[in-house]
Amino acid sequence: MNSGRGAYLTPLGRGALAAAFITMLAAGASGNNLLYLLFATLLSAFLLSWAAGKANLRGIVPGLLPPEQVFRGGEFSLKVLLSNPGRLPSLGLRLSCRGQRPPLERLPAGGTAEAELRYLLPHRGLNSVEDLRLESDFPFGLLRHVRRLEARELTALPRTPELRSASELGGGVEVLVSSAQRRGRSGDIWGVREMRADEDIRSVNWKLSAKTGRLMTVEYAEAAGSRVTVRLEGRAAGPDGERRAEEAAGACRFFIDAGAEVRLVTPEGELDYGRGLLHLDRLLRALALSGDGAAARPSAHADPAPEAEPQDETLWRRLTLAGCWLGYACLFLVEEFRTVPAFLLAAPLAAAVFLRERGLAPQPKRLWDAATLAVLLNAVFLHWRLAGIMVANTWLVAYMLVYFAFNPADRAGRRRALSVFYLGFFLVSGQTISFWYFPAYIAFMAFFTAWLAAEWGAGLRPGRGWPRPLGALLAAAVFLAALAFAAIPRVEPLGQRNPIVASLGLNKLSAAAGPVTGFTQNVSLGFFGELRRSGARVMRVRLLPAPVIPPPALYVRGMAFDGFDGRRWSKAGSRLRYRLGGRLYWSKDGSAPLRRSGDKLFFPGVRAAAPGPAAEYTIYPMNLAVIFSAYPALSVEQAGGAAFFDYTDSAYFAAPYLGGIRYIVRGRPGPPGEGALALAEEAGDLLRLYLSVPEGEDPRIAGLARKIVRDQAGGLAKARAVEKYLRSTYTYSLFSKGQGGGLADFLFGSRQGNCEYFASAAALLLRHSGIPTRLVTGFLAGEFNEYGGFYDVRQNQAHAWLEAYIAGSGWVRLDPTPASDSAPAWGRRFMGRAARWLEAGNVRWYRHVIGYDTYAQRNTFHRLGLAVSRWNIARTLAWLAAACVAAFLLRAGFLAWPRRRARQAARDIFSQAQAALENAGLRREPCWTPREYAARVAEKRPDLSGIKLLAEEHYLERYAGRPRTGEDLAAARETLKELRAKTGTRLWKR
Amino acid sequence: MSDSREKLNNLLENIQKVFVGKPEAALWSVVSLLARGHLLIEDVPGIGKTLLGQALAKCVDASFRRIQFTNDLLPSDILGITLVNPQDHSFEFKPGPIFSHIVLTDEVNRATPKTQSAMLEAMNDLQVTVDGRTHVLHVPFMVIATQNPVEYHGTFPLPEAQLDRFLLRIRIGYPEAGFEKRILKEGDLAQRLKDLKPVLSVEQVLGLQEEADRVRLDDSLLDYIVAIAGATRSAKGIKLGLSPRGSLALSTAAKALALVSGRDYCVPDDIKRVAVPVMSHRLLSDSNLYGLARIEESEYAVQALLETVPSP
Repeated sequence: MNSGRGAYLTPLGRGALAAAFITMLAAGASGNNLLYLLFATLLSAFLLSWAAGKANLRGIVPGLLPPEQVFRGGEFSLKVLLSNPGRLPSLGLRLSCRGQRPPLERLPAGGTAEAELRYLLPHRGLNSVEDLRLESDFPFGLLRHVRRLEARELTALPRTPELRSASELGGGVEVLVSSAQRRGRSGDIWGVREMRADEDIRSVNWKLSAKTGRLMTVEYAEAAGSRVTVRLEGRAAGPDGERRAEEAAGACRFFIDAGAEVRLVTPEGELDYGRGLLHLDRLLRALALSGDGAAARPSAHADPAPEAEPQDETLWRRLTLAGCWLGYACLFLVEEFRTVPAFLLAAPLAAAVFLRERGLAPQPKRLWDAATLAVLLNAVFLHWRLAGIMVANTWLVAYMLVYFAFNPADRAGRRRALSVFYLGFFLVSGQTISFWYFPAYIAFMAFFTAWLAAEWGAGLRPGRGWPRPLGALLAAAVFLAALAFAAIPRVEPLGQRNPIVASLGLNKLSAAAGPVTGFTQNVSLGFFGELRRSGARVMRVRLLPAPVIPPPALYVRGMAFDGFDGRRWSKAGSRLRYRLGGRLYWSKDGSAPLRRSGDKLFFPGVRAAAPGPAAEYTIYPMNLAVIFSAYPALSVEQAGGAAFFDYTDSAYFAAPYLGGIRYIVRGRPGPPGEGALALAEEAGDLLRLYLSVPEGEDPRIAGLARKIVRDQAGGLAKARAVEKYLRSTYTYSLFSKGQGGGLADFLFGSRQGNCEYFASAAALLLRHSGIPTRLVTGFLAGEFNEYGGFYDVRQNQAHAWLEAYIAGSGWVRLDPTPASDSAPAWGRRFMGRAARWLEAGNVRWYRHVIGYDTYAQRNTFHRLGLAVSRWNIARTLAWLAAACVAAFLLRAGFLAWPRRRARQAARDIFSQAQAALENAGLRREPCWTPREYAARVAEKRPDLSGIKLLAEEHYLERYAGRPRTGEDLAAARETLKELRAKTGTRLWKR
Repeated sequence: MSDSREKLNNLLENIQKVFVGKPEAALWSVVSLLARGHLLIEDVPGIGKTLLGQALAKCVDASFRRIQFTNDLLPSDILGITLVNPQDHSFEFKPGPIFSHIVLTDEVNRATPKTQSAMLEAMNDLQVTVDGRTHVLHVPFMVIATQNPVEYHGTFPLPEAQLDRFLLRIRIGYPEAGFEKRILKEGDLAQRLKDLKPVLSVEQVLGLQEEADRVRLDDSLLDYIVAIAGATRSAKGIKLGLSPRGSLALSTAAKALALVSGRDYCVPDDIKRVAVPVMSHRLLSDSNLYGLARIEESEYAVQALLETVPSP
């Protein structure tokens, strides 16, 4: 991190890398796409940090502006001038030198900025300054880009020890004083000064002395004085040489101060008599470069402790509070967190904002420590076991947010706060699939960007708006993240095999055990609305053999119910007596085991595997035992354990498949037929079950039933009439308003509801018309994956329909629910377009983000490949050629545009030439104009005098305002090329 | 453009026919004329200060007066006086020597402050008010003042505020040996001055002045000027920094120099070149910083200052 150039991880970057690694593991283990998204975001942040950071430092030209005189070992202020010839501003730059980090904040395009350092030269004479570095944590503070500034040589004058008289000089310095005649007082007046003790009393100006009360003298330009020769004996090398050089310097200063003319003789040469401070400067410079001082020595110096960086308290307080509120709000995406105590947490957060904005004293630290300990203990020993690790951790994060809202943090504390914000968001990502995650994600990214930018000092100030490049960077990061999200290879989640991941709840994608799956032993009205909000994948149905063309939607049948009490469907729990192969079976709860043969389970009446439509079902872990099937089942293959069927023609495994399951069901085509009724001993009794209506039912329902079927003859016609009536006169609504109300409310009040309202209504209306019906729950799988050849079945495809028993043709499937894509009435009425947009967004969110898995990914790439391959090669080439021509024309237009590109061209060429020459050691002092620089270069290196032409072109373009023609520029580029070719080696220093 | 370039070249050549060996001084005098400024020449006697003024006036076909400043000189000796006309008993204004195009004021520091300020006011306003009546001076109007840096006895040094009125302050310096020989050889200066033919009319001078106004000064050069002015205000060793009038003088002088150099645009080098004559008399530097005489001291201070300001 200390030396050289390149990019290094900052502590923040290391933290982010660790977070990315953990996120990647969690994503891989759970297959949770939101974790993948988070990981992709971190990845893109690193990529962007690297690229943008590199671009940020590129092309910056440094220059040193030392003071006129620098003494050895004396601290001075070294100005560093940075100019940015590029077209983009550079941000967040810092000079780094000996623990000092003066910030530059912003270096506009084509502009300059200046920073000041405290510096010290340890050696007399030439010191090469090598420890200056340019750093930047731009853009996110994850990577620190470092560029070492090229070595520069500075001359340190020898220190001048104070002498009282020439007799104090030690050996090695000889002083020869030759007295000269005074030249009178007619010279140019220098000024007035106080007398020195050693001066001739005759030089007192008595008039001035009388005025001021002090002895004053008038100095003249031709001040009288003696002539002194200072001779440095021997070469100024080694410690003794240093001492002698300093003594000689002291002597020079002493005599110059005394107004004498001083001559210096060193082994290297001599400097003639002179007077005044300018001459002293010459003397000291000669002494500095004598002996050891002539060779440059590195000015390496022990780094003092880095200075503590000042903090912008207000900024960090606001950022922290904003983060706490944002984190808190996001926690509500976790369903389990949406409780009353969680809402109550808003009060302490608001109190924290109130207290800290008013600068009230923080609470005692011990109190907070105790609270933290208590919360931690509670979480580890109680909450984890009671509520599960994930939920408990969410609560823990909530507590930490409150903690950080109250407690001001130092630099380390801020890091902790940031990691808690990330942890919170990580937990939320693992536990939600809501569409609202997306805005939360954007908000969090903006927040993290602001926070990280503030860490490197982007000049964020409360109430001063958002620095412009940050917005673009954020957009770029999100875009990159989207690409990375699509491209990161998905592995099949390990969750099915990994109980730890499952128990951590990271695998929200697969429906968790619990009521959310909805396939319990009964179905309440309005329940499906709740159920269908989840996009979790429930199962995958692969048709065997795979269909060639995408098949239509598939009804995957789960359970059926016969009993309805007005609010709830359940199995009436009838006994079943059935006859099979001449033997009578009797089942108390209405179910009977399937016959097993090998790894196959046969339904009653089936002897051996029959050819027929088959499908493979891969079901994710659920607390459920139902055997789903898309066709009337004949046999179940590749499933262990026992299975049962019951009188509603549903089948169950003996135990719920908590770890997920895969099986194949072979069935027969067509409607369910007679089913269990065909076997039943008392079919009549069973059919009566399917005709029961709830007691105390609204009489209007029976009336409605009569009205609908009045003109219909025959069971099937009646059934279709009811189906059609419901489909055409009622509207579908996911968020059923009749959730509290019963069926009557749906039929005569709100007239909109979920699928189970429609199914229940149809079932009841048909029962009133004397047709036996039962409610069936399952999935309406419409999402066929062409590449994988299967249906993806998600929880939001949960569906309810009904089967009606029509004498002669058996059970017939009826689905009175109108297609859900027709806009709901309330949507049309109240929110119209917005609601539909939201709905569309929701669907896309589930399909493209939540449900993006290895198959979807392959599908995407497959389609991409198909699109490319379908594209005729000739056409592709034609398009490419057209694109090239367009690009060329654009570029030509851009070049021809007199104001934009061309205006800068010659200047750019000059800058590039200058950079090339500077690399070869021909440095341009900041105060030199381009023409002066060119002249000096030509003087030093006549072969490089082409730079003069470039300087003139630059002048004509910039100062005369004459855009250069293509010819001029071509000539200039040629010259630039030539200069570049000639400046291979370094020949000239300074 | 080439037209004005030719005119200016002629002018410079013509001046140097008489004023031999010092092209730099001739150049500054023309720059000062084009920038509508006044010139202060500070050097030892006998070096050709007066000659320069005369040559310039002669070449431009403008009226020229010379005023020798003494300590008993009165403002009315310069500005003019109102007399009673005995014939018609009316008041009649008799204009003083300042009513000419080029006025050479020799040893400007010898007159009393009262007289100095009367003339300096006229320099600034291009008009004089005598007995309540305002009289407009001739245009172009240019004052070439000289002063002697060596002899200080019996002088009234110009205060900084008045020095500010002069666009440029220059030194001429001793001629090189070769040129001095040539001066001796050619002899009879007065005759040669008489023989000098004007090359520019007054109208042409006015035209050139307007052209100088139109010289292009890039925005970045304005920044550069501002940076230089800022540096003088914070520099060590300078007690009094550059006034905004000083910055303005920098830009006008740079424009004029650009025109004299045959360009219709300024470059950073122009500004660096005019910086010393424009700024050295405007800055009040701590004396004895560099061990030079006062005038050199201030020029050196300006040079040193320029090295701290990054060029565009």
